[in-house]
Amino acid sequence: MSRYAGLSLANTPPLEVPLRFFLLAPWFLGAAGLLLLTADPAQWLNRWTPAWLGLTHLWVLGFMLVVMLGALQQVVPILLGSALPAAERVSRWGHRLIAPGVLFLVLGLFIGCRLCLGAAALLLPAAVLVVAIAALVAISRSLSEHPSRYYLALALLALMVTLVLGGWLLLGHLGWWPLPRGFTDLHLTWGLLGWTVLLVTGVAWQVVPMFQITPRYPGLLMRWFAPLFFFGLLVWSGGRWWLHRPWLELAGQALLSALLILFALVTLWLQTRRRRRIPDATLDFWRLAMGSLLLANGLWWLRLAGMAIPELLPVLVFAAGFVGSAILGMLYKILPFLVWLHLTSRAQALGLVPRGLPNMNQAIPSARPRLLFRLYLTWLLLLSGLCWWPQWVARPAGALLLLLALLLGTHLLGAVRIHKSHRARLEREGGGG
Amino acid sequence: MISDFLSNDHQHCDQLFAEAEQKVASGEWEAADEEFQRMREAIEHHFEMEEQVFFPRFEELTGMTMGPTQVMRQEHVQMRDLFDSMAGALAARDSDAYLGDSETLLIMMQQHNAKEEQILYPMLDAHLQGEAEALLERARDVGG
Repeated sequence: MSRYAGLSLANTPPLEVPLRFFLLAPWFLGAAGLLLLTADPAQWLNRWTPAWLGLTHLWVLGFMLVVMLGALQQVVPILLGSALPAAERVSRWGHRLIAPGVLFLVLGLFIGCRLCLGAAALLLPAAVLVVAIAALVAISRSLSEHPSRYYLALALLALMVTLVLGGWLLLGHLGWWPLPRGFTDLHLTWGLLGWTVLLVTGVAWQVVPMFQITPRYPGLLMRWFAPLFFFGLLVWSGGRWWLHRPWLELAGQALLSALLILFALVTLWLQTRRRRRIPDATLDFWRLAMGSLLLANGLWWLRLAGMAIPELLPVLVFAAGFVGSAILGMLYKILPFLVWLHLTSRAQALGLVPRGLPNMNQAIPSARPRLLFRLYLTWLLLLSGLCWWPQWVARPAGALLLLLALLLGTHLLGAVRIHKSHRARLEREGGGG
Repeated sequence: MISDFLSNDHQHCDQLFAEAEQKVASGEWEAADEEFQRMREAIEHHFEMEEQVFFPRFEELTGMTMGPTQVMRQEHVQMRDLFDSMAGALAARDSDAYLGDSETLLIMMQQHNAKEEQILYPMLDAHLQGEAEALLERARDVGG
């Protein structure tokens, strides 16, 4: 019996736990839009300008990391059957720390405020550690033998590496030691490739077959992707930064790239074999994500082969095309489901028949993610243009991103409002009955 | 293995789910009525096998009556409520309402199945190993 001590299959955390993270993300997306809209377009010509540093961190921390940490607190209990300890407090503190942390970091990088950078150097690691440690405890207690379990653990490990490297760079910005610019790519690699890819794939193995009723991913791929990918990261990092061996660096890149291409192709192939045939914006978002992943890989190799491809383009296609699309697709599935689930569970707890509760399509009508998908696709095209013609596309891209943030925020808040009103009705009926 | 049998049955139910949804989406209402009925019966049969055969025996052997099996039962109730709502939408020929409910059922069912297949069923296999054949035979006869 003792091995079942931590087991609880009903451990969906309170709605607020992931929600407060989800609701924060559109604010940072909006800020990224404002930055694109208002910064001097000449700043987009060089990746080291304050505008680029501000924009990339609004995107990867304010949007990607914030949503992913929120989702992590939801998926670990659901997919691994193991609750995060002190889930509510962890979420509240993670949120309280990360919101000002991102804001200070971006201000620090954009306007050069040293005090802001110092504050961010304390707040961001604290925010990540609070959530990551709780998630690791839950993962270690899980009885699930699904590969997702060690993907999430390795993803968190990669996040820690990113954090340490980010902290190192930040202290360089603060003048503690010479700014180690060479570490930027290492920091970017462990964040974008390590944390992001391991989290997205670890979740994809389970949710892609679930959402579209596709065949399962091949067991061999699920088992070997993470160890090989992690090994590839180590080889690349080692070859580039410590051993200065270009051939080793190339071998690491080739391994990572081959795995990513394999993941994208297998996902697309499984989706062609889906049993569920009705239109679904999440499917569109995931296909866009996988297409972008293939494109980012192609661009990366063409650039290495000497073609005149802007340095940032593969990274933009990866971070916005692949990661951004996957995140949006997931958000539009997770939130409406959680609204329904929490209302139904509450009705059950109150002994009420759950009649008239909003289903997923009523919490967020399917036309909304469809509209967002079209706008997002347009925005991706504009964003790619930033590498060539910033003077023409920066402002329209900024305005469109602002609109996307506004729509996303409105859609999420709409679902929250529906939850609130039905919840109040249930409490009235439960209290009166 | 109990887990193989029940996991395969999940996949059978998924297939019926997709067929019913497809018929509603394409407005073939009479076929939809039929497919929905088939899906509902298959899933109901699956629930009954668990609730009448496997869960009680597992609870008896482990003493865990308020543990994972209880949570699974509560989720069965939530899914049965969705079937009622879907049946109402089908009778009213309201495809939006049906598709909204079926989308919800899909996610509910899939996360439920994932928890069963990854955690609960391996526990069933471990505890009911010696009597698996007899239990499987009883399970097949449930409702029949």
